[in-house]
Amino acid sequence: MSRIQAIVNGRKVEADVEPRKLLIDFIREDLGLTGPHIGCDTSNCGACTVLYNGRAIKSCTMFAVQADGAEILTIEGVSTDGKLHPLQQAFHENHALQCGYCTPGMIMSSIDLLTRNPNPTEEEIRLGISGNLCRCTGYHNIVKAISSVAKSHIFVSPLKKAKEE
Amino acid sequence: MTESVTLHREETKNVKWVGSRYPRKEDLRFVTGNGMYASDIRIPGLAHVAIARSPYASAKIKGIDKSKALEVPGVVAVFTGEEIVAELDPLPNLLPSPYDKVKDYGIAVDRVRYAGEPIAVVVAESNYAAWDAVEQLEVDYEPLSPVLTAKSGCEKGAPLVHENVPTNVVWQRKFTYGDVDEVFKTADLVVSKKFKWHRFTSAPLEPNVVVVDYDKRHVIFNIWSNNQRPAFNQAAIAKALRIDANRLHFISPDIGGGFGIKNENYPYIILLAVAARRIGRPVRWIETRTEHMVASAHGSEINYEGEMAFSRDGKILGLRAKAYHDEGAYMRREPIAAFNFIRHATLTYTFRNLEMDIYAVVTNKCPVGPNRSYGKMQQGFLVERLLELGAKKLGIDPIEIRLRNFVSSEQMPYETPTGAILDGGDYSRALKKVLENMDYAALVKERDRLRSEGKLAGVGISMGMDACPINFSSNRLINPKSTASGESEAAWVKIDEDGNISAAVGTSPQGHGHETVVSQIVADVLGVHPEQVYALPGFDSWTHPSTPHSGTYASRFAIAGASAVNEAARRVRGKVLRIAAFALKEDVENLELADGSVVSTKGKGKVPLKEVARLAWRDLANLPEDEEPGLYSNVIYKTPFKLPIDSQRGNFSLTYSYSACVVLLEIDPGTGVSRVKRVGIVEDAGNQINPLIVEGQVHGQMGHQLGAALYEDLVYDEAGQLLTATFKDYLAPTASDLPSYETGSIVVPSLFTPLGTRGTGEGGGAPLIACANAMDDALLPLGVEYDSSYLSPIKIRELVKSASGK
Repeated sequence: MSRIQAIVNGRKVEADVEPRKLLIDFIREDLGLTGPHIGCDTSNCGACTVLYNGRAIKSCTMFAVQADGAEILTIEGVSTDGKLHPLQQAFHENHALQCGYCTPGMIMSSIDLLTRNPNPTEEEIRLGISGNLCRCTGYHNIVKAISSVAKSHIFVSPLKKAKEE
Repeated sequence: MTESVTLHREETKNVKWVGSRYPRKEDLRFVTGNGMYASDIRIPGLAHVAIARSPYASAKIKGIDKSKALEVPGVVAVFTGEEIVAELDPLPNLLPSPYDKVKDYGIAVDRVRYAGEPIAVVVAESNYAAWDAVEQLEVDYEPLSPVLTAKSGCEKGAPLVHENVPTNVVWQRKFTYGDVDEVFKTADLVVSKKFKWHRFTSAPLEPNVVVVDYDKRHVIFNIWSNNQRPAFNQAAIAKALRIDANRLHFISPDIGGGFGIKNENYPYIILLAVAARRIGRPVRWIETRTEHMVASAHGSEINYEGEMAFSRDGKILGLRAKAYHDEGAYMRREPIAAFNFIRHATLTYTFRNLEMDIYAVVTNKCPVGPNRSYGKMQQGFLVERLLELGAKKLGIDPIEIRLRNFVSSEQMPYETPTGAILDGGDYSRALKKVLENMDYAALVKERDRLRSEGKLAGVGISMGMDACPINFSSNRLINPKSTASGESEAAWVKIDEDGNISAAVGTSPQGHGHETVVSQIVADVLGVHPEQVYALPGFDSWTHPSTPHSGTYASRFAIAGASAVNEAARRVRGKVLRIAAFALKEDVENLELADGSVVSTKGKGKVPLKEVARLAWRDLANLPEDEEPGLYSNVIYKTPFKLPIDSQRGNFSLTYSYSACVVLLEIDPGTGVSRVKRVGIVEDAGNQINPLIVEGQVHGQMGHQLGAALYEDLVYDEAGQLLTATFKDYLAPTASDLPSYETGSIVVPSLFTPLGTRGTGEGGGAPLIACANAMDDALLPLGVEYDSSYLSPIKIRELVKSASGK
């Protein structure tokens, strides 16, 4: 067992983990979070996407021990003051989700995308979320939702907020 | 681009919410990470299950040594197939004798029949320990030669997939309508073609999950799963477990996509139930993606030998086809897809002569299951591809030939030769509208421009038909001993003593937004806002009503679920009005229900709904003498279906939604990779309860069908190993592989449903088929006739190379 310390959604967590435990299993099983999901075994689907020190990563591709000392943000930490993040609101308004299983990972990748590129073209949006699979929407409304947030310049990185807390 | 909706229902006065693009109520929990999926269930004492699987497509199991597995730290128990099956009866199937003798337990005993078939259930304190133990299982196999195609399975002397039945052809029937031989003899033109319909799967993003807690005190199995129709499956599960079905408590919470595949996880419910009862602890199994790909359920795989007869002026005279269906190793219930042609055999066209000769063959591959649009897209593909070839030979424009053959809107309702009664629609308007929306002439010009740049490019059009739901009397055509008929759905609506409105339906949605549409329907009937209606999420057999047909499959909600909840709300409304009439000393006819109150149109005052609720539940002496207390209605809606007309005809669906699609695609001759440049579709789903959600379903069909047409393929090698078992090899398309969709709709209400709606979720395969027609068009300059539903970039590259070498 290895002892790890991390900041998850602005909260300090400490735990003993098996060295082989995947970060996604730590987040879901040990921390009890239900936002990040598992949809594949090969790091293709992106349902487990979280922000790791500010960048989107697939938490099935990292070990929990690698999160020692890191800041992790999951979908649960994205809305603040009881208000949905603009991306969450846009996904709702544009019907950019059906079963909702890919949604948390999709939104985390979108945050990463808009943080790095606040004014993406449609092609850049499609490329930016191409690490996340959706089987329900055919992506049409997801692209529309991300584009609507970018176009109205209402994107704010949730990272800043998490840090302040 | 939806044209105006004319609702033909009784209470049109209050229609406010049905027909509106109401954003979904479910979304809040999903966008915040608070969805509750089966893998999110936490139960104290939970043990974890991993399933050991066969590496061989066909082999004898000579022995299993579990001693080393049992030594793995954290292991609780290991159950071999033999130990599990000792507590089970085989799963029922629909086949006529002797093929009903095929034994299927969901786990192998002494013989494995496909690579990935379960052979043992391992239970441990953690998922990691369970997988460690699976690796330590020692299994002694004697490999046998596998049957890997339907055609080879039909051959004399082919190895038997199931030893206790005479052949691998487990179901065979020839259906003949009209004078097929005569029209083929006298036709001006007959086109013949062999087609391959490739194996693919809708692969929902959430894999299968089952959690079972056996409650010894009450002798109840509590079952959390992502099964999309638990009430439908409960009889089969109970029979296999040798218990009464009322001892099964099913909970399907939020489901991460289903597409038919999750009808088929019930064998795992049975395996987990046995394990939970044996160890006296709750158990959980979460399928891995690889397991899902090798062993859940695949879409069907077919070899067609098709012929179509035409008159010189392009009228279709008849269709004749042989269809060899590769069903995989087990035939669960019906011959999947093989029989389904009958619901929409002639698609949107008027031809009356038809022969389908069908062979359902078991092979040593993953069993096939119902996969979005199953049977519909395949029959559409056969008809549309042959029609396209005929048009080319006759020199008739592909649009013109379709217009010449459509059933016209004046002919509706129209009975097809197989007995399907088309419930209204305007096929030519749909086709013309999509061509207009897409500026077809510009699309063709763009294709020609791409060709002039040395690209391979093609334009394709197609119709699709989504027949739904299922009249189970069709089972009688599969097995004359079947006694099933019709289908039904249950719903209840309740107003409690404080005036809170709740509603529940038996449909187990998987992202379809039923909480939203149920709220819209109830809100209109009861004159309230949708936010004032609480629609129960998911499905729980102890709180939700159900019938043996309940569930979300076969695009049935807009017919059965919507009708059931509409009727339950109407009955509650009737009671509200009666109680209010008594309180106001007014006639019911003079009352209106709107904005949360019952109002007299003759000025005799009003009663808030909340006050009616108080009277109904609390102030019983002030109720009319003969009125039962409470405001509650539980309705079982019977979809109006009849028995078959004869041994090969009947109306086996109630509504027939349809779409017209046009595609422009481009193939890179250097890599063989295809891309859809533009795609447009016009769909008629009848009256749309929520056009936002219907449009989302159309987008979803598009994603699945373009993916299947251009990227997704389940490939087996010559030993029966699946080569595309992960998302690295099975290329589910990403956002950058797909274009945006140009969608539109027309609304011709269904003649047969109370709300004028049609089922529409699955779609009829039009985008996939349009891609096939566009591929054919693109490969034309190479002199290649496209003959499958998918061709890999490598194969396309080979075609390009051999053509340029000519």
